[in-house]
Amino acid sequence: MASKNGYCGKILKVDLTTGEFETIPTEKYEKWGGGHGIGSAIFFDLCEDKTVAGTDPKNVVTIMTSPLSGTLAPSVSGRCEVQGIGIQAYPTGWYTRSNFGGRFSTQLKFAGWDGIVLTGKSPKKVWLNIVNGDVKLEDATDLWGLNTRETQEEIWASVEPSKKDNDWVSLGVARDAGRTTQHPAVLTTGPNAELFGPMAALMHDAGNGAGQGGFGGVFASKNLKAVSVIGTGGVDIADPNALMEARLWSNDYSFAGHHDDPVEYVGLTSFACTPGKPLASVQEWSEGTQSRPQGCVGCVRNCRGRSDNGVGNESQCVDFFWYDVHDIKANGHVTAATPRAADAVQLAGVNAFAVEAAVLWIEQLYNAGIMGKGKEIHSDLPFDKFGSAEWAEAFIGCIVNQTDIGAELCKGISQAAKAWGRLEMDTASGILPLQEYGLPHHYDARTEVEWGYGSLIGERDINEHDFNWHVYWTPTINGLEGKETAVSAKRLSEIFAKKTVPYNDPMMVDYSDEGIYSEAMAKTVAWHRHYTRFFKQSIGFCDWAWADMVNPYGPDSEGMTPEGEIRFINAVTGKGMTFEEGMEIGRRIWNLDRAIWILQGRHRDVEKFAEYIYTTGAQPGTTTYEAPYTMPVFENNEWSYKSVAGRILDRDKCEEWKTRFFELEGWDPASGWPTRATLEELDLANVAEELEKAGKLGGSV
Amino acid sequence: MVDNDTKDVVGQGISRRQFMTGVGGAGVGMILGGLVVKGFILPDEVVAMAASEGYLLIDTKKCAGCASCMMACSLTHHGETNMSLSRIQITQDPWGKFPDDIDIAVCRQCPYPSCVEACPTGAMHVDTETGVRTVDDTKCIGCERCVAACPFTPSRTLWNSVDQHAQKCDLCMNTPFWDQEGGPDGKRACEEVCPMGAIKFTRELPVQSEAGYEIDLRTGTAWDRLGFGGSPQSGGHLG
Amino acid sequence: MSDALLSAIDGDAAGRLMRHLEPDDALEAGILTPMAGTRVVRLFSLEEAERFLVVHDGSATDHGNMRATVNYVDPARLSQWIAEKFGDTELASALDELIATRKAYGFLVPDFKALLAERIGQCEELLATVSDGQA
Repeated sequence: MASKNGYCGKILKVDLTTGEFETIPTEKYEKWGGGHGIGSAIFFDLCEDKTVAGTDPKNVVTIMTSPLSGTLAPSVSGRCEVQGIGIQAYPTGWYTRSNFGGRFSTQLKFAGWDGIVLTGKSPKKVWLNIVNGDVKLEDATDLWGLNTRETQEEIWASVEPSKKDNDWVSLGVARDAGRTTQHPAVLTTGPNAELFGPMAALMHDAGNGAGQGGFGGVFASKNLKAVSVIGTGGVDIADPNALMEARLWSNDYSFAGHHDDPVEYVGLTSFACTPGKPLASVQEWSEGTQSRPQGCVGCVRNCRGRSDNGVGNESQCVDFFWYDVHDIKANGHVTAATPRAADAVQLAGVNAFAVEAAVLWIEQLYNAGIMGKGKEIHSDLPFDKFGSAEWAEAFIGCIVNQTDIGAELCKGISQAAKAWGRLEMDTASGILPLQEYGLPHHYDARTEVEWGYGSLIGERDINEHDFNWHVYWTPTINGLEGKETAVSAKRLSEIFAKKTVPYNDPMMVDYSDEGIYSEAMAKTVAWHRHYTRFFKQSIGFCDWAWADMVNPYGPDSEGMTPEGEIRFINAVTGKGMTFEEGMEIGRRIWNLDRAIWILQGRHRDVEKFAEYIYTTGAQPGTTTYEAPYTMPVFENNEWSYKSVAGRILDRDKCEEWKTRFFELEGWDPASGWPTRATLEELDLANVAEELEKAGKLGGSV
Repeated sequence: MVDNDTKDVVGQGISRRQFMTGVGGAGVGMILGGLVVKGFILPDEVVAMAASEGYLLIDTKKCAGCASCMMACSLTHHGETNMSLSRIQITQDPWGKFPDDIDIAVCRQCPYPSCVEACPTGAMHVDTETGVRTVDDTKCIGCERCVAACPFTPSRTLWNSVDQHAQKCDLCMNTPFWDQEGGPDGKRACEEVCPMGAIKFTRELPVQSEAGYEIDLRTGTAWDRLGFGGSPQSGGHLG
Repeated sequence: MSDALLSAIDGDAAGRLMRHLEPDDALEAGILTPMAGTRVVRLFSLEEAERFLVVHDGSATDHGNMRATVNYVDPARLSQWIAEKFGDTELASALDELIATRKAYGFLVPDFKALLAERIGQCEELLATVSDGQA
């Protein structure tokens, strides 16, 4: 078997312009870990001009697994990282990432590949067919206009023409060509994705989506419809018994070890969550719908579901939430409209997170008489049936087909707002909840600042809940019901101090009016960016289970982080890595990404939130789905959970915080650019050279 | 697997267990392929092979399709995670309608194992101590008759194209990559790792239909509270 | 928290406080579902507001269940509404005092409810006397 200690040893590089294939030895990039780290390093090497647009053939797209993909490591095995210059952020399409689950990374590893690199642009519409070591570009003319389900089913039939139902099939004529019972794992765009590129996602199976960044549009710009992979090999594990023991150890921290008596915990937690939760995946079907939980390969919490009518399968979170609030408003409770709306985005391959923000805005425009039949912004959408499946399907359809308001929305939300003359005013007031870089408001930068800051200094909505479950959702849900949390604010600060290696500062969870601008909050953001760059984006620990900070099954409510991640990494790779080493790799990756954004034009002066963050306090119902924020604060020398709802950010204090952050990271505070000293310390001297050539090296101007 | 017309035999001084493992008809000797089979003669010269001392039951409605069982099976037996080497197979239709969206193929440790009968060398045999139907891969000549003989789809016996021999679920009797004792008296890897608690080991031969075992590990447990019956309808709260 | 609680009022105030408001003056509250936004409910009187404030037992959110609902009204808006539309600055100030503690909403609800109930009780008593007198 070619695989060794978790790595296959080779990365497939496809030059779509020439149709040529090349193998990159994984060893060359192995020090970056996997996933995002390897992707950024390859991008830096292969994309000479980092300022090109995402739709330029010179854009380099990577699809990367990790050594833990396709293994028994819990809630990490199924993830896959996609990177490249994106086309969603506004006005600059930053170099960005998205990530999806399911079984694609598993099959890619089984086929013998650690990842795929896509360069150039194919002269014809193609799909990439990987069957173990055999790779081929196939004609995608007949697939191009198909939805994501149709595409995948066509590809399955094409790759495994003799497969019958669930039976074994051989992947070649030779007796030992390899057999499988599985369908190929396909990553595909929706129909004619080039026509709604900035809103276009990549989809796999029924509900795994790489939604952010407009990668569906990037694929389409390369004339690439889909990538299909099926493999019959395996992933070599350095210490199989250790992996098995680690997995069984982790059972104590999850539903896996407590089927008959799951803990009753009010609030949200990650690894310990019961299946189909917390985001009510299995409850986004109307009463009476029977379902099962469903999850990615190797998962312990299985957050999605499949229903008895097949509608809304494998959807989760914003796949449902983009519309359930409107369904509930119209009908008093969840109806069939919600899962049908989920299917609408999945089949079309549309970014659910983007449409969520768009619809909140559109609802307000309609209510104010600005949008509708014969109004200033004309629309024939059936607004009298707002909240119905009919409206949702018509809305998604108009984006995909560039009709009605979709004619503008297909270019992106900010672009549509600009075309309608409303971008500045609506982002100033906040009725168009685009918080930074034209990207939808997820968690509130005014209150849960580590989220906002991380998104701002980074390049996209961070979508990483490591703090969020415990500093926002848990105290807020308990607070709404007048309950005391299981973990006090003081205990929370102790737990986080223990786990945020190497900073270990209890003040990192102080979200008071002082705390949010403090150096401790700079450590919070730095820790979070470094941790997620390595452990989650490079190794693939799923955001819905990791980090495991607060766990109601754990001793004194402590979760498995930082021990857990390392146990699994070392069982698979045999590297004997420490958590600190992982954090340092994460810091290196973060600095590399920072350099890429700087080459694209990033400077502290453009790192500003939308106007409403500085002027207007949040009210429930106006920005996605938030309940009013109750968060841990250290005030009057004591810890407590307090309401911070309605807070706004102080512009000047934000700027001071940015300075503190840049200093902590070893970046030039005047610009926010990494210095040569910092980059060389991280073994990134070549990056310093490129920044210097561009006149963008920190501290040298 | 059980002929309906033989149930009339029950009550004639034979235990149900003995009956259930009996082989109807002539032509099956006690010595199969050179191996002495632990068996006994029933009245009417019905020959029985010992039943397995254990079976895996799977609640197919609890399964989340995570395939952790497949990973654990191949990991403990072969030191690598490889679905093509897994002796339990989970196949899924992402767009399928629950409960038919997932098919779970696990060896039933058949009372009358067609795979054992088909093997010309005795490589596929009934373990003398535990009754588990399993492969002695040193004797396997790779004819794959056992794979063809399995009456189920997909075949519960699979071809290992890496090491080139047949293999099947052995209830983890032989797991060189796991320090834990396996077999009916030990632990089974798939059962241990299943995060939903959908796999259960039993010593009693389960009642089964053509469709398989109808196992319910949900009703009357904490599962009832987890919301798999849809969203409760909420209304306004005025008054 | 404030004790019991509010000063006496006269008949005119009682009449003002117990009236049903015009649509434009209604208070926007909401049925808030964690993670599924807030469904607007409009409150037209003090009585409706008092009834709307429900003390939830919290069992609906065990096991990560997010289909619980919370009757939510922004505390500051409630206080402002009472002051502006009903002219009851004393009641509004009492609410403001509670809001200033920055306790989470669920901890404020029982006290809010008690204050509103007390005021409504005073009004009902006064208005019953008036109508008796007119009988």
